[in-house]
Amino acid sequence: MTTMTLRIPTTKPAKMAATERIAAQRAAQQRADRKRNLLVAGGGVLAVVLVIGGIVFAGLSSKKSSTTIHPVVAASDTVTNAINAAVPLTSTAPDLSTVTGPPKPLTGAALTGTSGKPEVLYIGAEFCPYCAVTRWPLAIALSRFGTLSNLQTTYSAANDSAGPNTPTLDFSHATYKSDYIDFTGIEYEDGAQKVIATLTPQQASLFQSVGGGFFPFIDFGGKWVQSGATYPTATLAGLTPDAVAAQLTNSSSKIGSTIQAGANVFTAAICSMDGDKPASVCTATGVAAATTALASLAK
Amino acid sequence: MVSSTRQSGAPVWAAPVCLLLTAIGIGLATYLTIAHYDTHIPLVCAAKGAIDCQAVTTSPQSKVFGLPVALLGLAYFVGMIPWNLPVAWRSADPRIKFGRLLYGLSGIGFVCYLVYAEAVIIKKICLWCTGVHITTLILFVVTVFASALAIPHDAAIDDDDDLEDSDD
Repeated sequence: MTTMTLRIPTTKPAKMAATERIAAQRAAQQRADRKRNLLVAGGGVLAVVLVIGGIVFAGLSSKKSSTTIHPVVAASDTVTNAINAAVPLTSTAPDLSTVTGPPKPLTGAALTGTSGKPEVLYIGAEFCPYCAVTRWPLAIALSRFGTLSNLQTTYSAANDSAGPNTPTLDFSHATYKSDYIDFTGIEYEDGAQKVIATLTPQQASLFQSVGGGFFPFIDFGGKWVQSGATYPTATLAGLTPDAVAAQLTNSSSKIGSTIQAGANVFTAAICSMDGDKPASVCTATGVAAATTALASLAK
Repeated sequence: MVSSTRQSGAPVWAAPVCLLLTAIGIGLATYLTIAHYDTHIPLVCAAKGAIDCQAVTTSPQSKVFGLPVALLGLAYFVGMIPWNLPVAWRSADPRIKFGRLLYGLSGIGFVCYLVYAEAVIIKKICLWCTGVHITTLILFVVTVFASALAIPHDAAIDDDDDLEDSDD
């Protein structure tokens, strides 16, 4: 008797079935891998978001407990006398390369005040250290065209790391009389960043559209705009208003020369908006140099 | 015998989305870098309440190891380009996959420090910087999830090999 062995060849349908089975297994494995990976990824992303959220929360919590408001007091005779003494000092030629954010030319409509004269519009805030350093040269420049009264002094916010406790003037109660220009000085927020003033629609529009909503904002008659500080806040660090005032007329000191240079730049900007009047101010050496420097920016 | 190519299995949207976010990051970081070096170009940024770009970009924390943070951010996003090229996303090389993840993680670590510096030390928020941070975070999230979805596989399969595997 002969035995026969039946050999069954691997047929095409069998191969296909096996392939499909393997593919299904691999697909299932891939799904499981993806699910596991997504869980790990989701956990990792959640951890990152929680860390960042925790940092922000910690920052906001500590901020609320460290707000300090400096009192705003009438300017001492030392301060007012020093500003008046600095008014005639127009010989310092400003170096615009050392002035952070010098005025920029504007091409829009002229800005006029309530009396119809060209207007200098200042919008700042009492907490703001950039405003703190900018008020000194602005006060001197304005005093060259008129009389600035009822000035006060204060400091920028103690918790503002950009320049804590920077000694400064305050324009919130200041009055101004001039034959050439009008001046509107607004301190929009107090030392705790609480709004204390109201802007007219035109002022608010200029503040946002021209100044970018940045303190300080100074619009020189629609001709020039100053947005930001004119010199580093560290220049006045650790001083009192009276100590700054004592340096205003000292052209050889860093503080005195820096503020005088800034005052000449602002003076030149005002000269360009009121037809270079008075000539005694607008043709002075330092102011003329500032005018030339500003003209180069306008090109 | 059929030759096979190992593929990363990454979603097709991974490369274009990541490159788009990288481009946004480069744009923001370039603006911040220019504003840092040219003081005549102030950042267009409102300064109200806790928002104050100038306070942040001129703070001591705006530099790390003497280098401006803005410049480091720009370098980070430029360095992100090769990781996110389509060819890199198609590659199944684990060094590329995990290198990309580590690179993104380093960016997130730096963002955590910068957010800490803004929120806790400076107590001011720079909107442009926040834009960079958010872009970095989104880029990291997209990278992580795209990598999680990427399961390497062979683009072509040798049928005979598969049968042998099944017999086993």
